[in-house]
Amino acid sequence: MKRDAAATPGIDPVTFEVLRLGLDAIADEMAYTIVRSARSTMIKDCMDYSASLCTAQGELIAQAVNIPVMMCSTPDALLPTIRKLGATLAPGDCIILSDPYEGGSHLPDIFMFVPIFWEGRLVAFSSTCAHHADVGGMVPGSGSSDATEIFQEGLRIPILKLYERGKPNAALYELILRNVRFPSMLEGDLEAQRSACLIGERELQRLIARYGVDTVTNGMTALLEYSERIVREEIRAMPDGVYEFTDYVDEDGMDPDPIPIRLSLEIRGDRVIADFSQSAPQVRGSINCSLSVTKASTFTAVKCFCRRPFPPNSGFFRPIEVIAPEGSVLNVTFPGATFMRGLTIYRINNVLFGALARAMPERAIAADEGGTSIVVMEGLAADNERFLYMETISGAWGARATADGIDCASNVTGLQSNTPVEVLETEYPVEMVQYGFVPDSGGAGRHRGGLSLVREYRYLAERGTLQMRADRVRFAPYGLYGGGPGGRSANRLDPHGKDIALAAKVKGRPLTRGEVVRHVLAGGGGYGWPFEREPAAVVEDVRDGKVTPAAARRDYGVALDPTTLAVDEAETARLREAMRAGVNTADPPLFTQ
Amino acid sequence: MYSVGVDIGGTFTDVVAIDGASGRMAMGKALTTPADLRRGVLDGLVEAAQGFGLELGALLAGAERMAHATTQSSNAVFAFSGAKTAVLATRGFGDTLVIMRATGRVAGLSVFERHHYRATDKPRLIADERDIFEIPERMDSRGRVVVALDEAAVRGVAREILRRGYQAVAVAYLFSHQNAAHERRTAELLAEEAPGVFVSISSEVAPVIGEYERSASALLNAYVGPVVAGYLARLERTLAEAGLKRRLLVVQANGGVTTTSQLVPIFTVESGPAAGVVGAAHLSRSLGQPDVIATDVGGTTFKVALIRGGEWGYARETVLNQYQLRLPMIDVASIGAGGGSIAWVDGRRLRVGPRSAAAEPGPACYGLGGTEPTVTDADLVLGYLTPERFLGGRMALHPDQARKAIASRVATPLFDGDVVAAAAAIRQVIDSQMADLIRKVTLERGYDPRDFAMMAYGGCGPAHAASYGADAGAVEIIIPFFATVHSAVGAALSDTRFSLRHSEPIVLPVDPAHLETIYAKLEQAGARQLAGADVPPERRSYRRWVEARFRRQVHLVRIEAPPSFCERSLAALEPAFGREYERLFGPGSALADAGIELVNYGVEAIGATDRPAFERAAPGGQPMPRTKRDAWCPRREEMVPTLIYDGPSLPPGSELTGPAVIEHPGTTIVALAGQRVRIDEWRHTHLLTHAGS
Repeated sequence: MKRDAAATPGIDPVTFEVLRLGLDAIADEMAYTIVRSARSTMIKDCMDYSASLCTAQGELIAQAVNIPVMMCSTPDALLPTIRKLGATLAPGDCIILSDPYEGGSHLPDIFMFVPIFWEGRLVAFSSTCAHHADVGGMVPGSGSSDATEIFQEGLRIPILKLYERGKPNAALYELILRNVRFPSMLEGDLEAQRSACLIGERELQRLIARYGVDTVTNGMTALLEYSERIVREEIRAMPDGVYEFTDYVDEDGMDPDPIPIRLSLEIRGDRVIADFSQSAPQVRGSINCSLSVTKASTFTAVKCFCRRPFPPNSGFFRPIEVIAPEGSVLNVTFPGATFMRGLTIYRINNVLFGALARAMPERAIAADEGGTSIVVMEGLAADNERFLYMETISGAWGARATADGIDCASNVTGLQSNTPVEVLETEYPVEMVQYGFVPDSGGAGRHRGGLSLVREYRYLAERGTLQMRADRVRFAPYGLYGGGPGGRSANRLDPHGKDIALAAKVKGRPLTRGEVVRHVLAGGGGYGWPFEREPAAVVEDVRDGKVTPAAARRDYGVALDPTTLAVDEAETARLREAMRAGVNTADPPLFTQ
Repeated sequence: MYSVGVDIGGTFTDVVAIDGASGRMAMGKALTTPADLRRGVLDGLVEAAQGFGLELGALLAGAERMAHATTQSSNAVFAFSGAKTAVLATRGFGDTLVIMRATGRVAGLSVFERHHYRATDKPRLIADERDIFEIPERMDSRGRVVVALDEAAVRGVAREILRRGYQAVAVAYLFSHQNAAHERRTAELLAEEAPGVFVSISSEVAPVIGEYERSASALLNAYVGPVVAGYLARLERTLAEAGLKRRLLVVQANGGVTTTSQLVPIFTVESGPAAGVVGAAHLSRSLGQPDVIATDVGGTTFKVALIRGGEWGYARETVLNQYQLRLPMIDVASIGAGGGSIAWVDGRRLRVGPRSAAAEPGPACYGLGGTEPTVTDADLVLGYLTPERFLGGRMALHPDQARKAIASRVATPLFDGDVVAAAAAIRQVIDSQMADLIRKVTLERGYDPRDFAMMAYGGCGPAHAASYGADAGAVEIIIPFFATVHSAVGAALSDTRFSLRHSEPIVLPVDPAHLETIYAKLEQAGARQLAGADVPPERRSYRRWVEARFRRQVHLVRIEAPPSFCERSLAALEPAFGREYERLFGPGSALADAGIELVNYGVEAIGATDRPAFERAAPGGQPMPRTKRDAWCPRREEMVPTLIYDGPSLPPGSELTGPAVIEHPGTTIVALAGQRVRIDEWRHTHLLTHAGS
């Protein structure tokens, strides 16, 4: 039987497809093992973990993606591991690391690698990464907004063997567990990661037993080449040019200055060069990114703009070059703090989407909510047990060139889910007062941005502390091509009484029983001129309470009867004519913030 | 006296009737009639009656029970043809069903689908914000009233509901699983103010923790409620007029039947596949094969369920239209892979599915206008199917169309025009997808697929089981004699079953008397339900389960709970949980010091039904092939002469060796080279692979 040998050298298309399915199934299996056996809410409910298989050379080959950014940074954690321990690796080893200055991304994210051997030869690695609830440091949860150097953020784990030839390194375990606030939680979560890695090992060995080691390793090479080829074809089909875009992080929680992320994105032939050289220098606060994270963000964004799907492996990274000078907020140098770097990742993504929108308006998505917010409440519960509640909140998508933004879906860069109110209240002394959408918070446009979410908490423990990480309080999520910006984020204390504004980054503020904290996430930006939105679509939004009649008139130029919601066509035409006259429709602004 | 089972599928309505005295079985297979499903049911019944030489009326009059698996609820959800539905929610939380925990964009989608960022969206909502009304009321996490129910507000909303023409209402308040008083009172008020509107309360549909999933369960139940109830009422009337003396029983997703008046409509979702699992479990017990992987290959989906010790498991979550629900539902995993799955070339890769040609236009070989090559086209080209005997000769296949489709779409771009090689490749890809799902399903549940026998049914399962079964490591593959109407057989054999649930997080230790109270209440509720379904006390039994977790974990492990709680039986619960946990997550994974928290409690209230012993046939006679033709041999990678047998005329006890093709009306069994085949005394086919050796 003749099969197309030229397509993927050394492997026929059927074996290729069968191996691809098999490798993906293994990664899924690993991810499933973590979520089922982990302990912390961050992993189990917020799904802040990932699992993958990598080649012996450290290239990512298959991944179960919950946090794409976490995943695409795996090779940058594995390569230094191979460099440092390569010669000593043996079956039964299990390596961990978290230090951003030795392959990690920020301290709570602990990478774990298990080398996989076949007949004495290293053939692959199974890998997991999970965000742990606490790894020591100044504050519970390790997420201090006022950390200015890595030493304040918790335990730095260098590249070390947690297990050596199947034997646990008891000293290392003891040291780690002595330095964290919830040792049994961390221990359980580490074991969950290890179980997943071992399942990856077992299943890959099964695949090799079945197809032969050469077929499997050749299949991996073919998979990498396949993804690379597709991505190059996709990039070649994108219009060549240099596309610039700038967006801001409000501030780093330490200094009041906005932090610009400036990108010059060049598409040339089948290559993409993302140059972040003009971005802000490293900051004092903890929102600095390792270069691995900046790269991973770029890969993810480019993938979003490709038309054809392809296996998300290291092959697709090859045509993409990322430039960020050392000592910048996008390539931190020792001993910069990094805990809150997630915020910067979201902004990098917004900037990349903005630049790509310039190149491909028809595939664009306006700015999303700007990333998940984090709320942490801790204190002593009624049983005198110390509690720590931490959650990430996912919100709105920006409007797309072809459709409205999604009202509440996890951010493109992650796949987190919001914690159920009933789980929160059952387990922690916190009451949710309100959880819902904020009217008029979606950026107006021909396509409307997704709505903001509000979450309002009443603290029920005697006393404790509050931390919050929000952004987009100053710089609203941008709208595209005439679309308006999304609603801004806000933190308030006692919203139904004194209504005190809190900072975007709340650092260890004392809380006492009965206090109410309100967090509003930002809304998504709009796309296209609002006065071009079908009046019927505006009426539907008013019916659903997403847009108020006043905003329908003000933002969309649609005049409605407040009871019947009938459109006053003459008045609407007049309003819209006036709106149209006030702008240059021939040259809509790329973005409005 | 007959036991009758009916299963409506997308293309065919399957009927079986089993004579309780002789164990003889007759089947009917009629085209499904979407405009009025009753017609297909009656057609199928007429055919089954003929099998016993009876008129329809005589069969129905002699029917001791008649159980029906319906697709009405699934259809209503997928076609968005349910009722206009309103929702009542706790003030401050009305957006819960629209927020969807931020996972609504991706729920139920594969990783592959999730990453099409621009193409994915939330589902079309079944209730928009305008349909959701907030009511002042609030319970705390222990079910204590924090804000009293504002009855005037409920009455006001009820009148608004009438005015706006809603046909159904879902009531879903926070913590109603802890205290259902507000939901129940709201239902009473709605009945007073808006009589005739279908009301579903979340504490009844899904009395478990998690407001989004519980609300979504109530919403979907309200949405399908009027449709399902109306259909069943019409069918019950029609059958009564045609001579049925008994109440119509309805198969639920939990694998048991209930009466039409007790039915929670959304519980019928996927009841056909559930009935299939019931049939497989029954077969597994009667064949002395307690551990079975049940596989069902239809036109569009491949389904897998595990049976351990003759028992099936239950799913933790159900995804419908990207809504996440908590229903008592047999754990059946599925992927889009079946006879209609379309083969396509992506770059230079060969891919198969998940898109399906379904029944319309169907595979290219149906000659109904389909031009894309499907798995069935590949099976035909490979010589496994006889064109003029497809579906027992009801439909002629067109091999030329199959060849043409495979040639242009797969063989030319990838295989230098070699149609047979392309067809073999299509088969290999789809079979390995199925084997991957089998492995994934078994491993995820803490088992090894090699420890199971496999069962294959559905129209296309028997043709592929030899490949995917061996690939997944099964040593023995059992193909039931009535494989093509297997779910209808399961329906006929189903017990009456009510699944009762309660949520109450309790960290051990706990007073066993408290647990006993929880279970006693559930069992009393179960007894009332069984009485309502006319199950006499001597046929009732109760099985308890508990879902527990290590403290502060979220994911729950279900284990059996003792029939009565005392210090001793409670003490045994902890190690039992630890064992099940380690079985699922590996030795040493149990976190002994974390403490164990019991969360959900359940009772399966079962009314045993009489299961007729199937007729055994006397062994004897030699298997004689009907004909011989070339068919694909994957081992030799070429077409080889293959004997073709007529399945129904194979004598029990006969044995043969692959390669062989065994044709039954409605399905074809493929045995590959070297695989041995044995026909047992019930005429089930046993395929023995080499996986074990």
